[in-house]
Amino acid sequence: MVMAGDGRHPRDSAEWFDDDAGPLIRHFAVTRGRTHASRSDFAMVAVVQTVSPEPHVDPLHWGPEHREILRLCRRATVVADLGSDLDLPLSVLHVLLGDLLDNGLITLHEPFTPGERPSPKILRDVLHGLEAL
Amino acid sequence: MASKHSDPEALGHGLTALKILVSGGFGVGKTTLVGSVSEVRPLRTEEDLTRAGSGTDDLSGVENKRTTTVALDYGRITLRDDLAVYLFGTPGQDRFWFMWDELSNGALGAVVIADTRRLEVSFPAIDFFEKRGVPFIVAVNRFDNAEYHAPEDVGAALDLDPQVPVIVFDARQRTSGKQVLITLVRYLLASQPRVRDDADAGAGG
Ligand SMILES: Nc1nc2c(ncn2[C@@H]2O[C@H](COP(=O)(O)OP(=O)(O)OP(=O)(O)O)[C@@H](O)[C@H]2O)c(=O)[nH]1
Ligand SMILES: [Mg+2]
Repeated sequence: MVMAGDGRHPRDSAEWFDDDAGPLIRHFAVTRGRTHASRSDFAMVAVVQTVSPEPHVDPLHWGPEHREILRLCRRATVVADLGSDLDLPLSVLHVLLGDLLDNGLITLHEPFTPGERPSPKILRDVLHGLEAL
Repeated sequence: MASKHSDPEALGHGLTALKILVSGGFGVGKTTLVGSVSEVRPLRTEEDLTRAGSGTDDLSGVENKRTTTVALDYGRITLRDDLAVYLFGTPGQDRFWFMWDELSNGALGAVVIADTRRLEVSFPAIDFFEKRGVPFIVAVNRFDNAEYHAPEDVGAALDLDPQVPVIVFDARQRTSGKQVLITLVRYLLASQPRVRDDADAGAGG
């Protein structure tokens, strides 16, 4: 089947294009026009930190989840870990982080934006780290 | 290197978090690989059904249910206090294609797992990463009843660029999974624009 060496691009088969490329293209269009959260673009590995010195946070204005995020992020924390630690769906977390960011209560660093590549030094550190595991 | 205090490269409050995607078609061994090489953590998101779309869900009688919960394959490999690799599996079902965009945002690279008995299930992943310009390697999961195929034959069958590494592995084994990640990082290093750097001299092998 797929291993056939007839020189044809195996992924050009009508089979795959008809069944799968359609949804792929369609969903890209949907993502671009996202509306469900103000900031669903937080990279999963963006690093969140509560601004220091820590601002006074009115407990009546901010809900328990917001305050919990501020508490955990006194130490720099990755978005995905926050979702896991707080048992919050990422989609919900994104909205809460957006609130805190808009009010200057946290800072957010996205390590790499699309198109950016990490330096050889970081890659070498990762390589050596993996080899030492 | 752990003693280095102010690394100018350290991004994000001194914490560097790198994302690697684990992809391929359904049932190729994504969850198994994430589980064997990393500390698996529970993570979910709630997605709009209209976004997940394509009418796959029968909504009759559940008018109130607007979102669906998606559990993500997610694991962390802590390399140092200030350096960690995060593995994310791409969701297998077609209706979650839109999440691939978000997942691949800022990814270092990807591992596309292939099963030689049904290579075609991994085509969409390969096409996606090629189009997005996300560097990837192909890891051929050696299922017990699968016939052996040489990596170069699999690469040809998948019509990969010749420089894309293809390795055979066993997703259930930690050392084998670790080798997959090492292969990806070596590939990323090798495909970096060449910069003369004295530190490179000792970093061979
Ligand atoms: N023999 C063998 N079986 C494997 C290997 N890797 C995974 N399996 C088995 O294959 C099945 C599917 O593996 P999963 O890790 O669940 O695959 P997946 O890609 O996460 O599947 P979906 O999430 O359903 O798309 C499981 O029963 C695994 O135990 C392998 O290297 N060798
Ligand atoms: Mg799985």
